[in-house]
Amino acid sequence: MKLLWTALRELRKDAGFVLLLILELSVGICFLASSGALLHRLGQQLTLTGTLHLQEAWWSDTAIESSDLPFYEMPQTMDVALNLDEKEQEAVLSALPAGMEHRLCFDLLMEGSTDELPVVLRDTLAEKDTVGRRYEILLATGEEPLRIRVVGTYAGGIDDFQGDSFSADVISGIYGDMIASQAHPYWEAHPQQAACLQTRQSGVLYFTDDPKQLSHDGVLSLSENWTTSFWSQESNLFSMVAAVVFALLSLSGVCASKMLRMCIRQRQEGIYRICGAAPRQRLCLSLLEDTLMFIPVSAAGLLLLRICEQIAKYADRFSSGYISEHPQWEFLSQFCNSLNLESICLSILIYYLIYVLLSVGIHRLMARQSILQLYKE
Amino acid sequence: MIRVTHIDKYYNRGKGSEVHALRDVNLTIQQGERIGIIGTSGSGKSTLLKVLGLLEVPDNGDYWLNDENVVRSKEKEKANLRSRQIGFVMQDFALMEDRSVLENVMTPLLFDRRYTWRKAKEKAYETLHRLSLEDLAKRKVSQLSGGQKQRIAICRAIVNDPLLLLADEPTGALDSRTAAEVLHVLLELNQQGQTLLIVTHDPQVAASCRTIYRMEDGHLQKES
Repeated sequence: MKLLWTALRELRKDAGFVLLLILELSVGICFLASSGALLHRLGQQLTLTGTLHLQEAWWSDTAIESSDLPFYEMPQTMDVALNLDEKEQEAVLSALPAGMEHRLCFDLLMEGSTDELPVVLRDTLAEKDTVGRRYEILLATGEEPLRIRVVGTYAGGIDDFQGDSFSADVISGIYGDMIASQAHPYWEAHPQQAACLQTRQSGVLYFTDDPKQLSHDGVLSLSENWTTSFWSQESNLFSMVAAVVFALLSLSGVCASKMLRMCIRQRQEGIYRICGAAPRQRLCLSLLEDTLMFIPVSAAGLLLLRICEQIAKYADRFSSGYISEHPQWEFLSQFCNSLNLESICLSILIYYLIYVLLSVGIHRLMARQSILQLYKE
Repeated sequence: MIRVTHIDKYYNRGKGSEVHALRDVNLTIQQGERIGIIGTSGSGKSTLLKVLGLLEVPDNGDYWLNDENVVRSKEKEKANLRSRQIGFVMQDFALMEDRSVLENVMTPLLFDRRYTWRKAKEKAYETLHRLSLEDLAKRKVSQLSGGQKQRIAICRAIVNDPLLLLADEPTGALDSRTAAEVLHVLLELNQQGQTLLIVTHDPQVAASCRTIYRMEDGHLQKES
């Protein structure tokens, strides 16, 4: 308690250092958090490839015309995704490529093992008792109706489900999504097998044992596609570079300010030493000061998070038109959106640990010389 | 009782710039004694003071403090001994200029587990009162004169009732009148039973000591 009180009193004189560190560290923390969150998202996407057994899924920008492609059946283990609880489903779906999660076609996660098509619907499309029910959807061609079974729901956007049956809009929506796949000859021949899933960006996901047969430029495995698109986005890259630059800047700032403080305080260290302060007590005092100094830094980091959340809200409002296409705005929007409480807290923790380690190192290095300041032969 | 035997201290040992600062130093200090150490600059006086103050570890020899050999004690134990048994008075006062007198006097007690903040404050006031300095308690050290600063430094040195008070050129930075006042304070403390060891250049200060030693090229010899 005495040491805490002493540390507080000593910090009174360090307001300048505190302000400098708040500025440096909080900006560094936000960039680190943003980059960390972006990388985490990429990691989630790559994990999803494993979770859904999509290792043999290949990605193409345009639909393949050939009907002779030896498509695989949709892996049976696709039901892994269906067995996830609501929170996990949300996590899985949020990790899908941009735009994909909004497509109803991907909401229909298909097993393909029976003549029934298991589907996962947005919760706004279904009620609680909808889960487990079977429905028949008449196809426009007048052939056998498509049988589907609702196996789960997740939080979604369309609010037009009515009672026990699908509304006409929903049926046409589902049908519209399905038809893209069904139009494929392979789908017609094997109606129980899911062949491909079309996305909003008209990229097509293929399951095939030989990607060469797709004979199409720009065909990549799904994980490659995610990785490539991640690194090809300028805003992601800029965020990473900025994170590294700011991390180095802020840490060099930490070192410089700590060393400066220690230079000023070396004499004080010597005084503490002759007054009987044990090395651990002096280190503890230094750590207490550093920790107390980090509290406003953390607060500033969290404050920046709040500001970024507000910016992200406004970014949503202005999401149409020229401004949303502007690279700087895109970066700002990306930066703000990827920040969240967990990433900020984790970044604060990482920075704190690095900060404390650096501080302890510098303290130990410079405290050795402290007594020389008092005694001169 | 304090006793050092066959103390040797080297700096930069084994290098071209090796300095043999203390050579076979033997010294016994009895309770309540007043010892002066004189010598030229670089003769090893301050090194001896650092060894006695447990700030330096001798390369050879033993240091007995209250019948306990403290040469090989851990740094934590040494810090504890410094906190409770040794007081330092330095030539340049070694005070924290931007702090109040009270805060400076309290400093040794902050690291002593026996004292809470409140007790430390009371004890600091009590010690200031003992040297009639309580009026200065709230003043900042930077606002004080040299003589006042040195008296505050003495106050800080004795606040933990040390067994040994080590004074390194206590009057070196003061004019003759102030020096005499500070010396008077130290002598008064000694008369009250405080063991005192003074390193000095000042013949007047040395003359006030009962026993005088001369330090020459690391050798300590008693003056006749």
